[in-house]
Amino acid sequence: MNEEIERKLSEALRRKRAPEGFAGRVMARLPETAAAERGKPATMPPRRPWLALALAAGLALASFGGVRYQQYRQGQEAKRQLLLALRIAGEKLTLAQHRVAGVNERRGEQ
Amino acid sequence: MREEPAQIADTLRDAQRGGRGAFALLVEFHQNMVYSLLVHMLGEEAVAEEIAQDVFLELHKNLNSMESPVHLARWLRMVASRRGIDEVRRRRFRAPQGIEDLPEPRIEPEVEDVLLSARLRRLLERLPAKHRAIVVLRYQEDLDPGEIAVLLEMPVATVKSTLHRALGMLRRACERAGLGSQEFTQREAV
Repeated sequence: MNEEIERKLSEALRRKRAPEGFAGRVMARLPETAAAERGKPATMPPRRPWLALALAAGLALASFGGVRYQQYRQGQEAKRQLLLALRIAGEKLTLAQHRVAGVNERRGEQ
Repeated sequence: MREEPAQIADTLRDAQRGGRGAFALLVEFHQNMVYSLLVHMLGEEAVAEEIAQDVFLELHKNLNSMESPVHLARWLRMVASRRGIDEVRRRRFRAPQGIEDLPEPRIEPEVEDVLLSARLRRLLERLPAKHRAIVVLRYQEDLDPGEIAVLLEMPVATVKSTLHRALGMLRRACERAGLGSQEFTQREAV
């Protein structure tokens, strides 16, 4: 039974002729592919879209990082100046307190 | 049915040097094989032609890696059968029902071989993708299971068992359709 069906399959699956003009249609599609290949300058490395994306992402990150660092530096400077001003004001206040205390002591002695 | 590799060795070399005419000759030389593989697997001529064209365009891109005419023919069979399998799986090719469930109208015993062949091809289209590819490579291209195993990257034992299962499915479908009841069983009895 299998031998018979194998024989029938060999008959049923004989090669068919490709449609008329098949090779011509393949060749007509070829120039697009070939032109695209030829269009690339010989010295150019193969295109790497991921590389461009990675570079763009790296630049964006660096730029963002630079801005953030600048803001951090400005904040630190402002903080330093504020602390300095507070320290000076504190010292002046302490000095004034000492002077007032000194005046009061002298009045008490008199 | 097999090509004589020596006939196209020079043509392959010319095509590899960029000869468009030589490449056209290569296409003409192999077009029936590639187209038939796909049309037998897919059962639709327009789809088969489109994919067959794609196979040759891919060949053009990979032409310089072809080491010999034998390698070229094997590469074309491999790419065409794999593209065929992918297409069958992608489209779930008109197979809402399996071959086992298919109600087949009975055919009169005096059916001609042409009709029998056409019916067999239609039954083949109901097989799963890999079964189809193996049957077509075996009976269209006359490849042995070892060669099919290399093309489809499967163990030889799997190719043999799949082929056996496919033939069993086709035989049972033929019997249900009345294709085997007369002709096949008469011969078997002899």
